Amino acid sequence: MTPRILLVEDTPDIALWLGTALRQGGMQVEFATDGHAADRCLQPGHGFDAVLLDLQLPGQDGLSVLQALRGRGDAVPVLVLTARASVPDRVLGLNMGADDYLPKPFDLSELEARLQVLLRRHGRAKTTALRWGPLEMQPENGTAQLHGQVLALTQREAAALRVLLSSPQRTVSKEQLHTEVFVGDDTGLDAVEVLIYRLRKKLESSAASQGRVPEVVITTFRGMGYMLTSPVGTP
Amino acid sequence: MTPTPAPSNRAVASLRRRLLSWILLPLAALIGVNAWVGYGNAVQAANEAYDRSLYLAARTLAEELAWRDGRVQLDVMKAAGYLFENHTGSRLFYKVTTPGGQWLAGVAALPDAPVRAQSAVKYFALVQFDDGVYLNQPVRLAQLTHVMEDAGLADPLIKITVAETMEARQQLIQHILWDTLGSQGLLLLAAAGLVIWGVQRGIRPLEAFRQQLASKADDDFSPIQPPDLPRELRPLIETLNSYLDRLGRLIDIRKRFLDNAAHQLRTPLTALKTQLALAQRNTEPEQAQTLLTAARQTTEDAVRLTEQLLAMTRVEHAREMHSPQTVDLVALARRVTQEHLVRAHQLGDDLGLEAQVVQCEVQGVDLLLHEALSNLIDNAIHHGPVGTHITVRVGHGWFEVEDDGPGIAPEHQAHVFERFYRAAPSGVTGSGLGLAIVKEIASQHGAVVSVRSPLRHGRGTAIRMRWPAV
Repeated sequence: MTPRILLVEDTPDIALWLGTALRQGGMQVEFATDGHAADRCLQPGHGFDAVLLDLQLPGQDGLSVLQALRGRGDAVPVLVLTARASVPDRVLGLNMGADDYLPKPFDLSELEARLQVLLRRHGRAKTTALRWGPLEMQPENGTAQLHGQVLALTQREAAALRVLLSSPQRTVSKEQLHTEVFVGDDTGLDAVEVLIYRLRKKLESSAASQGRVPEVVITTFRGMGYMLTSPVGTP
Repeated sequence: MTPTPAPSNRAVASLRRRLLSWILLPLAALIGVNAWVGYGNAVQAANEAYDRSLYLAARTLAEELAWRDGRVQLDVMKAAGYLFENHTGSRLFYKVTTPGGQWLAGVAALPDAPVRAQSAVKYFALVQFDDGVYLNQPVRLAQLTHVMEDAGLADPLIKITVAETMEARQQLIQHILWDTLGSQGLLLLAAAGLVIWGVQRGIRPLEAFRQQLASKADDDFSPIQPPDLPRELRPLIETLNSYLDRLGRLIDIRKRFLDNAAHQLRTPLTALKTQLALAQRNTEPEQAQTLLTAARQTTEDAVRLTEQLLAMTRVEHAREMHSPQTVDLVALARRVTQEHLVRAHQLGDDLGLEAQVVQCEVQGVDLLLHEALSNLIDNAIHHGPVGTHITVRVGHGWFEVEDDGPGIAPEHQAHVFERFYRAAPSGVTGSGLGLAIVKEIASQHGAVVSVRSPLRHGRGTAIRMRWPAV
């Protein structure tokens, strides 16, 4: 099923090119160029899977569109795009029911990634699988594949991988991994390091067995924690 | 700026009006009181003089009275010179009675002056003065008690009453009144003229100053030098001049900032246009790809520059906009480092965090401190080669960003915090604003920024923001 996106943006240039990019990414895009049109498009039964909402709009501003939408009890995911940068706006946007925001100018790839996260979180993505490049995981049973090849993971390894996959582009601290993986266990933090070491080995050997260079690695960031990265540019 | 001469005009006018009213109104009141008192005194003196002559007239009459043929008789001829050819044109009447009121001579219808405990003229014990009416005219009465010993009367005392019509007195009083009014009025007019003249002269430098200020060009911040300025106004002018001086310098800085900013913004945009035009012309996909990649990089630079220009403006206006809150530097460093992690990693740099304390709270504006640290990290990523090791470090009351990049030469270190100062070799793009922003934020927070470079093997820089009070 193709996700249906409403793009609310009054600058024609941005609307046109953003729409083109999203269509190329396999989405169905509809446009609203002012607040009133957006409000009309978002009446009950609209059927959109996500809304990209610019805040500065002619007619009715983006925040009041959002307010009206949430006032109707509509939970469609909303990603706010804004050229305003001050914090109160950000807080307001999120308090008023925006699911995420991106300050302009944003990177196209970042927008696509955030949109995917929103769609997945709301169960509207093509698949509910967690994905990072060629690495895929079914969260319900904990099976993971690299380039389609199933990884033989222990329960704890799978749990750790799931935590890493659920936090794309953000580090997961050792403490956080310990809390989430070793629930109710009194092992020390060193156990996390051992676990990550084993997970790395399994990813490496899986790639090697398929005759590929590693495209997914778990990188340690000093003082910050672990994050899935790819050594050959973003997936 | 719109010139607003109207309020200053009004201020000058009202000062003049105020001075005039403060001086003229009390002066007029004083002159009025003076005139009233002087007039009263003059009237009293005139009355006393007339009363005295009336008394003399009564005395003369008394002396010319004679007892003849069994009754009182007046030698009118003798008395006439005194009595009836009076120097004024007032008319005189008389009567003579016994103390009991029995008529002896003269006009019987003249009213009596009542005997009062206090006489109008104190030293004449035997004379009473009063105002009365005779023939429907107001008259002044003098009643003299006289002893007539040779008369055949049971009681030798007789009363001589003299009445004088008031024309002469009233004329004199009127004369005095007009005299007083005339002289005091002239005095008042002269005083008003002098005061107005003085105030006008006193205010003239202020007016000249106003005109000088009003005729100033919008971009003229040179000090104002009004001629013959009163000493009282000098502090005002000095304050204004020092304000003009500060304003001028501030606007100068702004202007240079704008000039620089315009230049800085045009540079990447020009490059971008060229790159895109070339990409259109080159049909070879590979060449076009290379140019597009370059164009993307140029855009990144333009974005970074715009962000920094905006940040600078934001920071400058932050003082009024934000109230400080408690900020945990460790949490802040974690957050900001996180935001730069992916980009640093993609560029092949190693960015890490080193917290030497669990928590360090300072009073500050989160948004601004975020901006400062973000700029330090961005600077390290931007100016270091691929593979630079960057460490964000937090200690007690400070944070710093250390890198093992090329370092900053000692001769540049004093200047790196100046706006648009660029220590980097010309090949490296940069706005020269990043560290200026950091410095501005630090000074707003009462923190100090310091540079250490080189750190080891002739490389590396550490820039630290430290709160001396913590």
